[in-house]
Amino acid sequence: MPEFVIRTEALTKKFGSQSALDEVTVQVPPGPIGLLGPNGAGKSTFMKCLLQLMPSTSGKAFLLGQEVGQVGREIRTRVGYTPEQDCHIPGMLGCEYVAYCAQLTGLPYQAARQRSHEMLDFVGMGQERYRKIDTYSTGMRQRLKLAQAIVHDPEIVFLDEPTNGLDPRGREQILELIQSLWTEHGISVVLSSHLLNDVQRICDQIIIVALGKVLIHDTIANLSAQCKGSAEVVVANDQQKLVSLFKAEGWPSENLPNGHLKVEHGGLDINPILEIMHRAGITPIEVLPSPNALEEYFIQALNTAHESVS
Amino acid sequence: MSLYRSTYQHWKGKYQGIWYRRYAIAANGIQSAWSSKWTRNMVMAAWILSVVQAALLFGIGQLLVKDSVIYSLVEQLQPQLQVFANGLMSWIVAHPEISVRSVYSFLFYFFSGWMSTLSLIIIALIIPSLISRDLSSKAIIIYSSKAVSRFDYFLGKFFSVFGVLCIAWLFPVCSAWLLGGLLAPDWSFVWHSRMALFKSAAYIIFAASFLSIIAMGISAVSVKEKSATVIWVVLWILGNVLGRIGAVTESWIQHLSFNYNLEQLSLKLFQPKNELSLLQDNVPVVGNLLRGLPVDRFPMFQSPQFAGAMITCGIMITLAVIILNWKVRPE
Repeated sequence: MPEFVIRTEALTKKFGSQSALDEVTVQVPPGPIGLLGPNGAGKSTFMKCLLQLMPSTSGKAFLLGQEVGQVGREIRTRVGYTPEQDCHIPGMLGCEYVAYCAQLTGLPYQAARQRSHEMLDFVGMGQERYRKIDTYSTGMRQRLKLAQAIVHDPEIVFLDEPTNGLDPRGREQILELIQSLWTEHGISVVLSSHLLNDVQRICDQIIIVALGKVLIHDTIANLSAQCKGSAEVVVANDQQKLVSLFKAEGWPSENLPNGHLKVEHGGLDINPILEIMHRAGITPIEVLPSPNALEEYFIQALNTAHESVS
Repeated sequence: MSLYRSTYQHWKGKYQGIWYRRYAIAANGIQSAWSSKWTRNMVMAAWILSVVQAALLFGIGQLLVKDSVIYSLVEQLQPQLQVFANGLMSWIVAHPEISVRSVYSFLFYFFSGWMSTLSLIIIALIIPSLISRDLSSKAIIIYSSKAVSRFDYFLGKFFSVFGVLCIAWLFPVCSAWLLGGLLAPDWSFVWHSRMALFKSAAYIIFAASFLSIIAMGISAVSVKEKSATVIWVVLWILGNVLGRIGAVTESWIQHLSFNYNLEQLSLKLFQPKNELSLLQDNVPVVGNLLRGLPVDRFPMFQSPQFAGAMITCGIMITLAVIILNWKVRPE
């Protein structure tokens, strides 16, 4: 395994005058990587340029240590990909389809059949594998896409919005599977999503993309540490008193439309808030550590990008 | 750890080469075509034709056997015919290089032509599953993400159509020749009919390759599966209509029909006009009868427009390749 699974140098992709990727330079070590950004940010374009599904306009890209465009098709035996949209072959059975995808990557017929069943077991598909794909639900199709992406045992797998259209239970299962790819089998994962929670849940690193540029590339741990700790406090009364107390501590606070009081305390947990309230004799109904600290950071980054453009 | 997760194993085997992956695409295409009942029926019809062809070859061979059923039949019908048949047999025995070659050439010319019509119908049936389906279902993205290039994909698809056409066209013709040879009274039939087989094989291989590329181009034009079939049938019918119009107006118009172009190739290879002259000049009695044939009324006895046909085929292939290159992209 090379030091960096993905390395790009000023990678640019233009559609006419519009830049989908604007001189993207990143160095990504192995592991689960989250590619985060709003719709149209350039995430899928970035993946497609790396996978040679789309030619880049300029710049260089290296995948698993080899320059994209120089090594040809053979690099794809080491790479898996699940596209965002449905792209199965109509009329095929689930197990036939996965076996066929394995053959397309060079697995011999018998091995392809055997591994297709193993992968369908792995993604949790039972007897449905003997049904035509056309009859599959969204959840089954997502599982099938994952199975075809890993059937040839790649070193890195690109997953484009793999939880789209899934119910909460199905989403949970798919995320668990994706997480296990790295933690248990050492397969690097590039997870493209606009859902921060999915990325936060399974990735060690995060690349935030907007307007074709990389805004942030860091580990989740570092980013979380940089986020200002905040919480939402719900009290029955004494809200003004509480605001004064927070002000005295130098913590900015604001009333939210839902009646909650949001406070930026800067700590890693909510203990300092509870302590102040305890000292002042204010009984909280609820104190919620802000679950979206990273999301706020994400939104803030996006706003900065938009402002710089405008 | 859940039970299903434990099933993942790393693959430790060796990946197969690019020709195996191309074969996988072609085999999948043939399998997909074979899953259609109508395609199977058409292939069956082609094989029935080949059996008919073999039966005719057997009948011709029986002319050389003195006590064969054919002679007793001829004798029963008209005793004078027996004298004629005896004379013909003596000539066939004396000049197998002319008799066997010419008769086989005519038979293979006709049967290859009839089977080409069946092949055009088969293409109409399989054309939606060729490329249109991959474009409409976006399966082209999956192909592109695997270890196959666009060229490999095209090659695999080409061999899937070509393979089906071989099953429905080339193999039946070859089988008919083989069966005819096995049932012939002596091995000189096999030797003297070899050119008819080679000509048939050359014609079918060229025609199947040409039609496969054209079919791929048409299949790539539309992302709607049924549209591909409609376009194919319309072009086929339109070509035939233009061919007839061109026959009485401007001859170049005829080249707009791919059927006409293939017919010219067939005429160039089988040269029925030359074969007829050979028979007219050499066969006793029958030769004189053949001289009375109004050859001008039969297009098969005209000189083939070979150069024009090949140029038009080249243009059609180029157009198909441009369409493929333009339309079949993962993004």
